[in-house]
Amino acid sequence: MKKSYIVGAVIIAAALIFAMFSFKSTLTSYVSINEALASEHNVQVAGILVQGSTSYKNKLIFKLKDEAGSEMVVHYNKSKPANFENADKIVAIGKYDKNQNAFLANELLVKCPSKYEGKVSE
Amino acid sequence: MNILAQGTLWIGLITIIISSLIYLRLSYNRSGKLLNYARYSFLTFASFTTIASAFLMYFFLSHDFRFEYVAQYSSSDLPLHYLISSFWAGQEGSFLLWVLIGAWLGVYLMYKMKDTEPQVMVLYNLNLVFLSVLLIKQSPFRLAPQPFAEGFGLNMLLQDPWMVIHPPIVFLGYAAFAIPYAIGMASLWRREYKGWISQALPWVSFAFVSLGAGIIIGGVWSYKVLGWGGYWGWDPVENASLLPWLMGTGLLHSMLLQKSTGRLAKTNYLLASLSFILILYSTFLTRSGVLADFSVHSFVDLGITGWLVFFIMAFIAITAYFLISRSKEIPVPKAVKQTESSFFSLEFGLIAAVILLALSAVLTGLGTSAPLITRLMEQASKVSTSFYVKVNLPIAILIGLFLSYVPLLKYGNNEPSKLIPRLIVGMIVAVISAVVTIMNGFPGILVFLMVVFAGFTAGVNFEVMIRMLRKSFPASAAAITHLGVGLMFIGFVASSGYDKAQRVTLPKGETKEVLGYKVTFIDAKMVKEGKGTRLYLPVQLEKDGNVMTGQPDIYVESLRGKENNRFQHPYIERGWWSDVYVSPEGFESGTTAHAHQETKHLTIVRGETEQLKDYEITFVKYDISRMGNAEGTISVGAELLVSYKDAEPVTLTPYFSVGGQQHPQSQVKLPGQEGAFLTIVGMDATKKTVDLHYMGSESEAADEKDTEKQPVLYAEVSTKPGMSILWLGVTLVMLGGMVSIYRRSSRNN
Repeated sequence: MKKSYIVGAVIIAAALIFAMFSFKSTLTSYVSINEALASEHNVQVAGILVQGSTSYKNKLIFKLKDEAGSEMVVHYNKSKPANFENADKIVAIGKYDKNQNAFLANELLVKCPSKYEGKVSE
Repeated sequence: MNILAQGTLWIGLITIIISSLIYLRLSYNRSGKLLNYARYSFLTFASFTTIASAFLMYFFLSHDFRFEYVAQYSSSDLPLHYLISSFWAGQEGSFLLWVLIGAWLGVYLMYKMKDTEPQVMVLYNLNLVFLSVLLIKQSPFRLAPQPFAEGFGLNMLLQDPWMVIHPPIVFLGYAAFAIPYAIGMASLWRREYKGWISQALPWVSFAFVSLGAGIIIGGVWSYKVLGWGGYWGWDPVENASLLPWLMGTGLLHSMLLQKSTGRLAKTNYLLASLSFILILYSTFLTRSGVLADFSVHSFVDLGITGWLVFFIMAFIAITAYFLISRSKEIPVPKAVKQTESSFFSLEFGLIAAVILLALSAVLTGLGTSAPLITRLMEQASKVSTSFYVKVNLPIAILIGLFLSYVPLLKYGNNEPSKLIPRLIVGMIVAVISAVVTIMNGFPGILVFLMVVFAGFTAGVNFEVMIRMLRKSFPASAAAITHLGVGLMFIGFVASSGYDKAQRVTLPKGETKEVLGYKVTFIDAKMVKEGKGTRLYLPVQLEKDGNVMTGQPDIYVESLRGKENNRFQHPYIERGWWSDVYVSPEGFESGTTAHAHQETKHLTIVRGETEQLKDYEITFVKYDISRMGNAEGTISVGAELLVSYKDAEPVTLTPYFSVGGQQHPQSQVKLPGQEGAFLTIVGMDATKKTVDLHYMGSESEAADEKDTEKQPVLYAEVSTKPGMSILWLGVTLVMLGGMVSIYRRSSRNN
């Protein structure tokens, strides 16, 4: 039994150390639009869709507005998520690109009124 | 009616508390008479929970929109099966479903337990008491402030047959995990450390199958409905079910080991508790709103966060008390103390399985909880999905490695040389997997190892399965499951590492070559459906002379005050080797369709003139003559001077109404062209501006787009290899689990 204890302990310790490193390196912090525009890292920004700002032609382009009222243009290179237009909130994860003057999102989280929803906006 | 319905919930709560109290007394002093009262109370609770559910179902079926929950999740145009599933479309109803399932599992459990009944039922009831409290806090029978004339309908995403059965199966799993926990704690309570394993084992298998099937159905749904192109996204809601499932699978292995050798007696109590507590923790993560900004699902805090934290703490306290107070008494078999088990034994393999599965649960849980952990230190942050892949990849490799030989071993000492002939099938499959992988592009050493060992696993377990099937069907449970695991791992790698996607613009009738397929967009067809329009966009695929057609569609739902909401449904052509997935992303109709009238927005400051297409528009002044002519309505006009090309200017006065009944904003016809209109959509008195909406005539649009009249479909075509292997794998995992329920429970009797 002792041998397996040692092996188990080694595996677990190694896994935890490895996990800690991965954890740190894949963290994306949750920032405001102004902070996102200044940041060079991958970040996530929550906001609401500026109505009427969506366009789609091989790329989804829309404006996101955060609580402070700042706006930014977001480019998203994948399928438009379902429930996009009536989302209560959209979280864009990605990086701001100065050359394109746009936030290049590689992931969009759409807070859809799905089964966990509780509020109806009237 | 609502008082009656709400009353059933209260009676349910009261009777389950009474039942718990009687059982608590019985736990210390058993008497036959009281036992009947405890059972009757429990049966009353189960009956009233059933009546409450019947009430809710009745309110849905009769479209009783006085109830907020009914109004929020259904509408009178829903077909019957979606009307039924609206029951569990929201938080409140799904809690009721959980309690209902828990109640009836409890009835079965109550008559199944013998001497241990009082203690088991105290602990099992406790979880139902807590859920019943939540149910009353968050009642589905709350009345709306005013009855709604019509419901808001069921979210289009949930209108899918898979979503009808997904929640009941998940909650069956959730409810079932409370049973091994209750049996385990009761065993500590009674200081009877033997026997609980064989009592609990069939329930663990049952929970493994039901929660597993729930997770898989969720994956099928997200693959085929969401059009995200994926069956798994490491979203907190998905992880929430995965965590207890992984821990429960670890428990299944450690219980088997204890049953045969007596080892891991303490570990089993711990794992049984952790699986159950993870169910509560997951509920907390997904229902309390703590991860609101970190998930694709919306989690609204319904004011039950405090309760959930309290419940979790209470169960941790109970568990800790029993574990610590009994820890020294739990007997360890002599054999275990004396013998050193070899790496080359079934014991070692099972211990490895327990460690790896528990580790995967802990690390995945760590990632899912990242926003909570980081919030304590600095800014709340989440981990990207690559974290989950990174930490679970080495675990998957090791699982594949162990499953490649451990299933051939027996307990105790094994002769390695005897194994070699039985490894041949595995080796062949491993080599084939390696060759196929390299031919499609080397994926990096870790992923490569995962595929090779997964192939090995599939081969070895296939051989074991055949051997076992010859002996007896029930004995093949583990081999069937492990064969499934091997195939599932291959499917994971193939579908997520070798998928290809390409965007394509498809004018009607033109054929384009995408990823080796000739793709043609046939034509669009619009059908009115419910509150919106469904746009069918049939597409033809051709490869090597095989012609396939399918209909992706975009459903456009009109919503008041917001942009139209669109739901894309992909067309999936399933194949043995690879699926082709056509996801409609955008559509431009041709010139004949009404939808393509040209529209423009324009803001003009008072006194200024703006050019809009062929029009010159001057905003002369506001017209306040109609202000307050209808009750509660303020109507303001804008006097405009409009000239078309070089024609004489005309005065037009559209009106803008606010308040009162919803007034249609008055629309004015523009001169010069048929079907061109101008509408006021807003004004700003301080800036002295008016916002106008221009809708051009169809003929005008036709003139402009003369050169490209054809409707255009923007689509993403992707190939997803290995999906059939993946589905086959997960099906075998579940099938093996079902066989194991049968095997463990028939031995029990």
